[in-house]
Amino acid sequence: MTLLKAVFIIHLSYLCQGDPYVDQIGAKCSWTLKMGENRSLETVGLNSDFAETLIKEICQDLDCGGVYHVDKTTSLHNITCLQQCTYKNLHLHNCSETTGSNCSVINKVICGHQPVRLAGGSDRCAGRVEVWQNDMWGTVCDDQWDLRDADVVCAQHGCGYALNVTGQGGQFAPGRGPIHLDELNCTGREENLWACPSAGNENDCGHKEDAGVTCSEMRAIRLTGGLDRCAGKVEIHRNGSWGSLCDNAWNIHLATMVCSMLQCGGGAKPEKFSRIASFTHNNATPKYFYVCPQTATSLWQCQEIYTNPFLCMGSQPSGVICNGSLGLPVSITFSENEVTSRTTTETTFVTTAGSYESQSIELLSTISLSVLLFVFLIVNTVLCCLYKRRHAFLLKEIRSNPRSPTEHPQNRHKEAVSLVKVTNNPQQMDDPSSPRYIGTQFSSVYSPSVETDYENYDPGIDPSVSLSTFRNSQCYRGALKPSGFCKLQEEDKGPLNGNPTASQYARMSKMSEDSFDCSSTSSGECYENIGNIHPDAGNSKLYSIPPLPPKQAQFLQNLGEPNRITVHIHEIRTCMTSWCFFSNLQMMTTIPL
Amino acid sequence: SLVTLRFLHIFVRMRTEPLQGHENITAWYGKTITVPCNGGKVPVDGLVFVKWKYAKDDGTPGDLLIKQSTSDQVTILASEEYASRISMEKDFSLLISQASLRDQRIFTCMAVSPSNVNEYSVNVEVKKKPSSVEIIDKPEALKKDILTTVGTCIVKDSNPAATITWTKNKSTLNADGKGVFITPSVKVDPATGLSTSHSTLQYVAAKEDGGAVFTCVSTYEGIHNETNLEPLMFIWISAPLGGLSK
Repeated sequence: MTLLKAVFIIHLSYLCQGDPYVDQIGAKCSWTLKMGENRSLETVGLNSDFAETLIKEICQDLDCGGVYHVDKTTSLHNITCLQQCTYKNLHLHNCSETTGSNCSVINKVICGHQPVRLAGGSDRCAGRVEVWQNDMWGTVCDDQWDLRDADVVCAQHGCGYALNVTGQGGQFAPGRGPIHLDELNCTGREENLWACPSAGNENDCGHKEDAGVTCSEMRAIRLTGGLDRCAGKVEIHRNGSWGSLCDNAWNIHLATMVCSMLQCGGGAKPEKFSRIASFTHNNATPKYFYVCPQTATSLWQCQEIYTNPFLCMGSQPSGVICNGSLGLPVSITFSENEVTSRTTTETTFVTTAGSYESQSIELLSTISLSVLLFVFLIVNTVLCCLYKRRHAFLLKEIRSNPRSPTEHPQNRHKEAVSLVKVTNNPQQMDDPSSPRYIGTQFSSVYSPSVETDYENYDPGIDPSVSLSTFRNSQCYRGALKPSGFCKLQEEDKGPLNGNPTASQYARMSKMSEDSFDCSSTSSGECYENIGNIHPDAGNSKLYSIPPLPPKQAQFLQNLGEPNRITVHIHEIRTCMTSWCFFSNLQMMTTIPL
Repeated sequence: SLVTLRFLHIFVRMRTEPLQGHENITAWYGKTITVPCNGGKVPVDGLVFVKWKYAKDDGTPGDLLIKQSTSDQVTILASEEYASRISMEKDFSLLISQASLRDQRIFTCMAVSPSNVNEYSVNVEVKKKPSSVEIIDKPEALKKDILTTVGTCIVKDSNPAATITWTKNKSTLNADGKGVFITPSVKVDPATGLSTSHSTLQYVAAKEDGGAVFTCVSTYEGIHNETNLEPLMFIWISAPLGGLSK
């Protein structure tokens, strides 16, 4: 009897071999139809009406939602057209064959759970997460949104793994349309976000809480080692690390392109681009070479060649001083010994600045402002203690805002932030308590960006850069080492020669985790308030913002635009009430200089 | 046999490539030097860029300029003496204007594709013809049996140095330590490196030397340049004893 059964099964499976089956292409929710083994060369023709219902059925059976996109060819001649098949376990059975004209061939079907896009970022691998459902693109709420959830998006989108996540107040603008997912709790290995446990679209979120991610494959570019973000060694971001660009590829075309990508110099030719300093390649980070067609306007339109032994032979890292930039610090131009040069610059700078400014009124006003700030700090500490008994974490932030405080952050600003953000990440990845990086194929190539030649000059990792008013009035006056001086000016930004990113990261992680806590219990009103008044205040807390090129800032000053120092005092661990209170304070403490 | 030929060809290539000798080129001082890359035949297949470098005085390589095959512009990499003097031809030849003797070195052209690097070295020699030939220290007259300086011939600023010979009535004079004394010297200008050759002829005239024509013959690169000394007055007074030893 068992033998008979076995024979029957074999027979059945033999029959099945000729039947069409669902062939998944690369992902669970993307598929095509193929004929079984002994008819594998034949194309599968389906009656068009039948095809429509079948596709829906298959997408649903795969647990892939609705139908997002069907790539099909219709009206082919001399093709066997199948219809009225029964579908089971990825196979079509008992089809009847017709030779009608209403026949189509399914090339590829993408079910609704497959598409994902990252919107509002500088690159396709960074942005606000958007998923598709019921013919509409929608966003994901940032409640419980973490790196594991974001990993799923990055992997699905061919962007590697997640470097960091953003939520409310992040650098990506809020989206529109429905909010499809909330309270995601992925393991990181799911095929798509829909496969993760979630609260679905029954959420209490607004678009200001849209989740975003910066993936490891985000392509970004920055200049390091200059006096501002528009000068220095060119660095390319990929795989979570910053590599250099071989100057065998470097020419006026590329240099102009890089400056315009960074929105430096207003499209003008760079001041200097060839061998601006004796930079050296870092052996631990990749070297990039680009073959650019004459028509390219962005480096990303060029052919990228990664660590080729021949193309980078005898090369140095490329560097550029974009038009209007302050250029490089004097000492690094031909110095290899970064440590000594850095120390000397800092000392020289402080003394120069001191002698220059000793009689200036500006110094006096700065001192009085600092006193004022200090008083504010004390007052607010007291207030915090009143509002809650728990230990409070204070974060002070001072920034100048030459623009209108209600003005929406400009793209340039945002982009700069995103670059800097990634700089903070190595700390995250170095964290041994973060198991998510163990075993990821990308982590082997990772090298922290702090290994760059002139790390201390990097505006990206300098925690003091948000103090841009101080920079304008003091730091750049000496035109030597502004960031170091700023650090001296600020009392609580960590040790001068220590690791500034570490403390910064500590603040960052606290901030994000707390902001999400709050978010889940919020009614939304107060958040809206904060977000609108200082759309980029959240960013500057999380990530230091490279300042405007100071020439530009001075230019604004010359125009007579009022410079303000805004004092933000955020009580981080507390929720609703204190947030409201402090955000109101924030508005009040805008002091015209 | 075709296959054998091909093999032979490959073998020859393999033999010759690592042994690639320097091509030698000569340029004229003050003019533009054209240094060809592989004799003007750069393999363009897969070519990504061509870069010229040179051997610095301390032997380390110095980069001069680079041109990517997708770009029509040349990027100058040199920051020192060459920055303002170099450019590149369409066939990737290196052009160095205002050639000086410091340009006498090995220049290397790198033709790079994603899978290969070809290097072609060229040894540059810079020559300069003498700018002038003149004779100084002319005596008023030749005295019989007395050692007299007939003249000092100066051949100015050349590279390499010119050689000077003397003739008397078209026949070459050789220093013999008795009647003919020739003192040659070469001075090199420390700034330009150019050589100035000097040659002083001292001669003891005999009675048949009346009306003799002395000529300074300067030879540069195999080309002779003759400068005659005007016929000298001849004095027939016998030299007193010991006159020779003067």
